[in-house]
Amino acid sequence: MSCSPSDAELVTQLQAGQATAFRTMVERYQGPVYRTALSLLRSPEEAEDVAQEVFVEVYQTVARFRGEAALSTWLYRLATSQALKQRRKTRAKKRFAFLTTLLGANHEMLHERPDYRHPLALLEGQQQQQQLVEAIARLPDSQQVAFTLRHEQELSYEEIAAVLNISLPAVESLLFRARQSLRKFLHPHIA
Amino acid sequence: MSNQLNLPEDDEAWTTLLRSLPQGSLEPRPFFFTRLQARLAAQQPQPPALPTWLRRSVYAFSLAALVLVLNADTAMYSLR
Repeated sequence: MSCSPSDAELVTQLQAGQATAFRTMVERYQGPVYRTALSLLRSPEEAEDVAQEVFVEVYQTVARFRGEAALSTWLYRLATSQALKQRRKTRAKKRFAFLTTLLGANHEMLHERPDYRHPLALLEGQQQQQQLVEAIARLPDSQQVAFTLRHEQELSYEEIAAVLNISLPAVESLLFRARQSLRKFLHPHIA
Repeated sequence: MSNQLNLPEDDEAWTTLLRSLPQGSLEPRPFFFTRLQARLAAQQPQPPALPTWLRRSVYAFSLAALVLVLNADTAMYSLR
């Protein structure tokens, strides 16, 4: 019987130290974890780094996983928090680099990191789409995570509430505000 | 919806809007698991080459002295 194990069975097998279970879990979730990171970071390299870090953390801490949340919820939670952490790090690095150029500590010309476009934006001549992607990137962290999980990862409201550890009305509120902000950001382009 | 971007009003329509757009590669590069294994292996603490007690110099010197004394004793015994 080659029936693949359920997530709960996978967790049990992982906690028992089965190497095959780890591989199965990675193969099952590498896509969603990578895509979640990618939609928040817009950089394939950083998204892969975050995805790997998520699975390393699972490997190292699965023994302490009590199963209060589903495996997928835990993975999405790790992916979003690691991606946001990575983004803060990158932004801080950029700010520091900017300051050093202002203070003249480094006389070299600093170049902006290449602006990797979101896969959604790799379309020919889709300026409006690129505007939408840029507007999503400008949303506050919590709104962006909720919006991305809902409309790109297509999670249900309940799943998003579990991942963000907030109530359903709070998810609805985040999504409502995210859509409102998007309209506001995109308004200058409409005029 | 009176704007050029056709921003939808309801929840499902937003999902449809984002889903309907053609997408690039949304999977990690091939051999993701192999790279992950390498990263895990790199993070594993390396087992020490020598036991901990032997890495303390006082014990190492004592052991060396004991070996020398035993050697000297064996040499004296064979000379007799």
